[in-house]
Amino acid sequence: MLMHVINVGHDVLKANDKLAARNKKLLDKNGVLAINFMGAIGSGKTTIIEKTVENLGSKYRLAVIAGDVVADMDAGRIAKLGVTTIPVNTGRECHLDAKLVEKALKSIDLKNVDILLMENVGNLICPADYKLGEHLRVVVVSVTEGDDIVLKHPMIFKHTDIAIIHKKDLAEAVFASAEKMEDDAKHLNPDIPVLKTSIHDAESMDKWFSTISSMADQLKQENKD
Amino acid sequence: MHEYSLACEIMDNVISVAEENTAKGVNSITLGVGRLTHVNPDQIMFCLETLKEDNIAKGAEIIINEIYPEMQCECGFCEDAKKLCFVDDEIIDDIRTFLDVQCPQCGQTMHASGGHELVIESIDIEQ
Ligand SMILES: Nc1nc2c(ncn2[C@@H]2O[C@H](COP(=O)(O)OP(=O)(O)O)[C@@H](O)[C@H]2O)c(=O)[nH]1
Ligand SMILES: [Mg+2]
Ligand SMILES: [Zn+2]
Ligand SMILES: [Zn+2]
Ligand SMILES: [Zn+2]
Repeated sequence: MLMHVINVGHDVLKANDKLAARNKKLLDKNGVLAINFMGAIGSGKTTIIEKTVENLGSKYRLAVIAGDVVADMDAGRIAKLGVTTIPVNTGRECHLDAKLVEKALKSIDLKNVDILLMENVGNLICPADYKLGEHLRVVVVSVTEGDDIVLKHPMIFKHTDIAIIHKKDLAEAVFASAEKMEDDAKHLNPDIPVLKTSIHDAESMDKWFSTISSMADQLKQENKD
Repeated sequence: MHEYSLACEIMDNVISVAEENTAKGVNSITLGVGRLTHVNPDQIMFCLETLKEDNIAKGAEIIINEIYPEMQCECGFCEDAKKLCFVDDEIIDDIRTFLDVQCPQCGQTMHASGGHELVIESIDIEQ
């Protein structure tokens, strides 16, 4: 009997990164800006996606991948607004990964999409480890989760491009400080924009819409050049 | 719990490497788990112990090595972050250990490099 040690060196998480890079290439080729929305259940991801569709839907061609726990429910909410919506989760996954997104991309007519909004599964932990092929990672955190929530989940804030401190209208009622949350996010990731938003404050939502539209315009310009 | 699907992926890989090498059995599987991932080594271990029972890896020993990041400073100083996790007799198991670490040389905040792996390092087979 022969014993033999084989060096394998296969990294399961890097394998996901590679697949994500392939998704990104496909999205780039079609000039699609892809956004990965991460955040706890109830933080406001679907609401922000709905508002984004309402606000930017006339200027951009949008599509949505709904990945939160029972995706059919969120997908139904979004599809009502008349955009292509692909539900990908059946309640088994605790995060979206590049493979699930690759499959979903197959049923989207990418040539006719400018912005792809992807709602990740509602948790602040493992989605941090998985790239999907997105251009922009956004963490949505609500003041109602308690204002120490940012410091409790450092990795996701370190690996995001934008942090949204949402439902700021409720801050006082739950004794939370949106400013503290902003400071914590900036401390973990000094270079990222932090937006404090509420659906009851149109101006705060406008800041988000303009951030996204300028990014989509920029990507389009890059593709033309 | 996503460790189960990760464990399935690991097991699939182990089986195909074993088959490629015309193995009769697998003695051990050695994994490396980065300390900055959200992968729980105990859960991975538990899932693999269950999965291995009905395939070529039956009876294999599963060994998990933790992979620590390296703390790096702009000034050029760097050190293994492992020592941050062992203070006196205490083992510190907290992802935040690697944030806000000041450089002992110049006082700047250091950056953690690596520690994001979930890697099948090697398998020991019988041919
Ligand atoms: N007060 C307040 N409630 C909000 C706001 N945004 C969303 N909500 C509510 O928060 C709840 C959860 O939102 P949802 O978008 O489903 O969260 P998701 O689980 O992250 O997709 C819903 O009842 C929303 O109406 C906000 O800015 N202020
Ligand atoms: Mg939702
Ligand atoms: Zn997960
Ligand atoms: Zn998980
Ligand atoms: Zn230094």
